[in-house]
Amino acid sequence: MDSPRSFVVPRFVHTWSRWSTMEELSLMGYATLASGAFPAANEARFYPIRLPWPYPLKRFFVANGGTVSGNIDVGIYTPNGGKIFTKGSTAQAGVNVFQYLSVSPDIILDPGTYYLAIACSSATATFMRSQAGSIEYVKQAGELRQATAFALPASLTPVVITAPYRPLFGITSTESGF
Amino acid sequence: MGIQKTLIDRPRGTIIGSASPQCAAYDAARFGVAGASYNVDSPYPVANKAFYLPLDIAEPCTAFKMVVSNGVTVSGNFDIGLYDQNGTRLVNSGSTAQTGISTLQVVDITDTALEPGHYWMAFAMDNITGRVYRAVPDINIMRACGLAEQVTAFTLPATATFGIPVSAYIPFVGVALVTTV
Repeated sequence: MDSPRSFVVPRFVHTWSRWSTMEELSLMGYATLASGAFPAANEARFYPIRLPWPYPLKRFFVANGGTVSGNIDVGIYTPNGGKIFTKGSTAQAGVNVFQYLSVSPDIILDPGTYYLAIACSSATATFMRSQAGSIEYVKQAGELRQATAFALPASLTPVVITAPYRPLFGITSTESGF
Repeated sequence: MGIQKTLIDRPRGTIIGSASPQCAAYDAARFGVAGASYNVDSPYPVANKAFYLPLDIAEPCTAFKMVVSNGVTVSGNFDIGLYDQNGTRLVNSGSTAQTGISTLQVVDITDTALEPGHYWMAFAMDNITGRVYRAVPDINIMRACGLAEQVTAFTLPATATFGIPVSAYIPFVGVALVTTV
């Protein structure tokens, strides 16, 4: 079969799915998910994802950790750093739960590579994340950061990361539930 | 039209199970916790709890049988089935005695045609003595992959109520798209 008869996209695409560079990191070593503080206040972090099909983006989700604080922003960017959508500053809410952030207007992402982006105004806020693994592995996974990037900017000026931090967050084609 | 092939869009195998790319549990088991794969069995965690595993079917096919990988102890009964994306039960085995230690138990179901779309595989057992091969990933990653559960769901209900994962447990189950397993 050279091509699928239909596109059946997964309900969730996130930093711990096969469509992220977790594919690569799983072979290089990573740590168990645990609650941990965001690396730096007002910093933004970017994680490549690869979508082989058109994807209807309905919501973002973020896995909050044991302490919530300040505000968060999530978004999605092109590989060249152009903004497709950002949610805007939103209070982090709900300890140890998934926080969902709606998308409006509707967005259909074309097949391709994107950056999932997350920024946080507080270094006290925690997320479920993995922080271990060699920094060199994480660089190979294409993760980037930008200081003083809250709320998420119109275009990215990313730099090399200095400490690994992979929060569990992503996008979903579901409009409610979960 | 050039279409990049993906793990989901590849031709599917003869059995789509918890470890198959067509099932969202694949990501949870592979990335959830290092070493969380299906090569260890353990007792079913909660009697009468149902686990729901998202299934993505990319081409028309027919479900002929369902399978569960039994561990070193069998006990009581299970129910295994398929639901549509809205949680309506399509087919299930009904209460079935767990038999055959350390074997893949094959259960006949009513032949059910599946069109491309989202489905759920469901599995529930009525006791915590019987053992099943399973993965034990982080429940947050299970949730991020869309897995769900429901307590007091034996036998499998006509309509599923999808609750967020509480038990870090993915049973190794599957649906056979061929008649001989």
